[in-house]
Amino acid sequence: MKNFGPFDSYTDALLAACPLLLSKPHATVGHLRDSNPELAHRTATEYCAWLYYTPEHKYEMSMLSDRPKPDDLVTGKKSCLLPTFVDDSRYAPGELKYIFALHNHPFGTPLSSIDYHFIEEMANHHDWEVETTKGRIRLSIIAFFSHSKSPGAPTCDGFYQYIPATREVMMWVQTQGRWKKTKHESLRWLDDRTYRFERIQ
Amino acid sequence: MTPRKLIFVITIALASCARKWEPFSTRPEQDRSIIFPLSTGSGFVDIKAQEKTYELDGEVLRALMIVANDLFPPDTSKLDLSCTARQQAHTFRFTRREDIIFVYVDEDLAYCGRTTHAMDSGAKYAISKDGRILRRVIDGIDEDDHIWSLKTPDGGTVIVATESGATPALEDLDKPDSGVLKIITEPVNMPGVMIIEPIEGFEPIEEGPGNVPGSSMFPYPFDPKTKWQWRDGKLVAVPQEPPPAPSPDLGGSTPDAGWDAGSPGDGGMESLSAPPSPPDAGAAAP
Ligand SMILES: [Zn+2]
Repeated sequence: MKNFGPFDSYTDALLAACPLLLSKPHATVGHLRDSNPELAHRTATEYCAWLYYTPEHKYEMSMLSDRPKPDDLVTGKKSCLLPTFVDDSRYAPGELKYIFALHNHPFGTPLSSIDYHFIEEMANHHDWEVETTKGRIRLSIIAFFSHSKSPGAPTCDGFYQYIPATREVMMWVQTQGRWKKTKHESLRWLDDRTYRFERIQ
Repeated sequence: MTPRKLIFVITIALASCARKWEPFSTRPEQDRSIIFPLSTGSGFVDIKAQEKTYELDGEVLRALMIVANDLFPPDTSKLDLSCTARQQAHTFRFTRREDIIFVYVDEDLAYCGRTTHAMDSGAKYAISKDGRILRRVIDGIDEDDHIWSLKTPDGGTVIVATESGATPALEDLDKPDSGVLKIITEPVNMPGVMIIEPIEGFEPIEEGPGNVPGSSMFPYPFDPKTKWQWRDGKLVAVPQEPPPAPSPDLGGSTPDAGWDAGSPGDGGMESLSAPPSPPDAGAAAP
């Protein structure tokens, strides 16, 4: 994506992506929750993108995806379809390493069960763990949220994260520029018809 | 066997009705006391429309229509929609518990020739038998209940559902303000259910070396036998005792009945012709 990075650190890239996604139209609607809940439901929009690691040892972000225009107007769902692979013409397929599947939750809700499924499905195509010059990074899904009351310049107030390789579920929040991990949990699937976590190679 | 005790997965194109359609045209009551079932009850049935004959009662059909019409425009023939936005590109799973019909809507990946889901593409509804939306959970919009596995002092586990994402405290379970909506006693085997195990002793930690936004702390590969605790701000592995042998009585009394219920099929996929084990549907909603 143009005008984004490239970054030398994944944390810098992550924390730059957060306000960028949240400032897209209707990416955060919490400010309407009480005053006009119907409008909030109708307009809420999710955006998603890959944060990836290039052969130049930089962190970059793909173009943002949202739902095609007629779809988001007519269905009640707020999903985001993130392609499995990034098309970056500078590199051959297979050269890019996928790290974070980023998206926003317009109401600041935690990750949904489909979010967990999604990143596990992605783990069939991408490495669980990426070797970088500064250590290893694990594939994960991230949902940004904002508690902002001013939709024009929403603050990045935190994110939920799930790492399939280790089953870690985390919540990070930001107050006045300081980041704090406020949750660290372990997830297990009890049952699924088509997917079981233990199947991981 | 009564069909309404079974869970069906069906993909159906429902009849359209002529009116101006808007998403969420029905305003739900959002009754948080209604908990979506965590058990498949007496079985899980995947309806393949070929070869067999099925009969659906009108209350269930109406519930399915309410859900489908709430989420999708009934007539899409004039709209240029992508495959994934269409009603017929979804599965509709339902289970009935007394007077409530629970409906789960998921993408049918094969219908559009896909192999991976879209994020936040699920939805579930609780519909009363007289046709009202009692509760609606749309991914990305509505907060779902949180299901926890908590350790009891005697080494057992108890599974509870809470309204908020705050970790429930075991000692508060009996208090009215504990935030616990329900203590789950039925076998937990509904497809896709996930349970969070809080890591004991965890206190919020400021970012710092080894703990930066985006970083991971557990070792890889994941070892399901290892449990983690925070001690003095550090994550330490604690040895686990082997889980107790499964109790033959899976109903009611054992809080963690169904825990580690084996392979996904055990839940399980039963054919309509195979009689299920004795029903243990246990009303999920009070
Ligand atoms: Zn999500």
